[in-house]
Amino acid sequence: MSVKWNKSPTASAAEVRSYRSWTFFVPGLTLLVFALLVTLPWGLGPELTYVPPLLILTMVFAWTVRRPTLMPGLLVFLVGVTVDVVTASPLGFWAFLFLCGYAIALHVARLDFNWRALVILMAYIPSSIAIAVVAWGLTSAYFGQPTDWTPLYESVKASWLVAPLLVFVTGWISHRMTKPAKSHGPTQAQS
Amino acid sequence: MSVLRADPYSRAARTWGVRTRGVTGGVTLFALMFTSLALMAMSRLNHSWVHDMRGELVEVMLPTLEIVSVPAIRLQQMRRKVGAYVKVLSEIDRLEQQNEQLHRWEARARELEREIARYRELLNAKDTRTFAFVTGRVVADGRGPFSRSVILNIGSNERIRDGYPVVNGNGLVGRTLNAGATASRVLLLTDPNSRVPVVFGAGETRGVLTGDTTPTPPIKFTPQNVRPAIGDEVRTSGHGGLFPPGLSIGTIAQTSPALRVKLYADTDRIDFVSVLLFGQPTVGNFVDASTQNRRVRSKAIRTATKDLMILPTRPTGALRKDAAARRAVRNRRRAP
Repeated sequence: MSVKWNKSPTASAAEVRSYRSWTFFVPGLTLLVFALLVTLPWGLGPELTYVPPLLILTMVFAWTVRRPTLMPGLLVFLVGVTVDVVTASPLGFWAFLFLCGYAIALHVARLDFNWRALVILMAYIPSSIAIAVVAWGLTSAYFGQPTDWTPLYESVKASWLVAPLLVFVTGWISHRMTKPAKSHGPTQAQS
Repeated sequence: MSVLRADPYSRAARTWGVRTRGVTGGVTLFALMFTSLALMAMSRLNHSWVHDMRGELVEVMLPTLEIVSVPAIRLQQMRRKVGAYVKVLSEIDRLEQQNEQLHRWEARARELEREIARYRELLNAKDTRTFAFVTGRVVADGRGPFSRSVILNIGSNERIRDGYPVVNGNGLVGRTLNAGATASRVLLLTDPNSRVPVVFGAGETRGVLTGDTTPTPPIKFTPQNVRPAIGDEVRTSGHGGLFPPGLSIGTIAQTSPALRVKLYADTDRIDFVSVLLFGQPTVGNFVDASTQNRRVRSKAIRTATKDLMILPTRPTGALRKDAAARRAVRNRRRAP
């Protein structure tokens, strides 16, 4: 069944509910699809090895700030474990880092603000630095010696370049999700 | 107004069992973080459960990865072609010079080939350097801070076992690891856990190529007072029996402070690779040593021995004749 919300001013309350139920899974699905896409063999250079997981972190961050109720922690954990499996990292490494980003984003989501995209980006930059430091600490602890931080630094910088695009995309999807709920007009029962 | 209160999906979230009040963490988030750290600790201890679970998950994800990796590989090939077109003018001059050199080398190679054929004939030597191989596609990139590996869409169903050498058109890429039924992981030469016995230079000096995540891995454990030249070829030595001797790896790129190798195969951009079915026919090669789970290990040993029995080195009739001949010799010795 295809429901054209923008063109139908007389959508029933049940249809609105069904639409909301369907869109409930959109953030989780987009995150899973994105996680699969970025782990494909795109042929990135050795200095950008951290970029794909950091992009997933950006996506987690953006979705959590925009729709905290639709981004359960368990999903973030499962996406992290998937990335760990594909990238042959120790199980739980990226899951822990994504959960750290998720925890920060949940606190950002509680703030009162209007320019959401700008605030997400402003909050993401220091958060990504903090998470990169945690990642470096965990990697060094895992190997028992300080590891090279340059690839991590380069990858964080690269993720800042792509972050605005991801924030914009999540914003657009989020806006499309909210639109019918706000503009469904009078229901069939009322008319 | 708070984003949480303004979210029109709060009611839908409650319907699906997600708590809107107190989503800022609490016990669940703490428990998940703790689980992650516990999993990491178990991975560090190389627990067999983690190892088995990783293999199972790769098998589950393989069909999806196989489908979605097609556009990524196409894009990689296109990018390579565009790069080649851009460089084409500057390349022409270099290729003309190289072509002249190759013509001279071709004549020399033909001469050497004839000479080798004559020696082989004199010695009645048989060529043992022929391997069966299976070609597969890279479906996922596993390069991260902890490893340099890729996942292939071929596994033990195609007779691939752990430790088989993996090559592409340019040279050695790595070796197989965690071979599942339909998928296997390739440990690249640049991985910190990779160790390959090599020889280099005119004197066939021995060493061990050790991965360190850089594109130019170092050669360690070389004899003292060795002075290799930049450009010397590096090949597998065959010591230890893990790799066949003579597989091309790269050339010496740096001699000081450390001896470093520029690999022929670009490990950052691999799409199709071939797995050489090279290995000693012993059970140890077919069973992953890190599998400590007794049931899994015994099952793997059973499968491996079954495989060995299915693929005898000689036809069954010939084996039966051999056995009869041995019995006859034994009986003759026993007879007074």
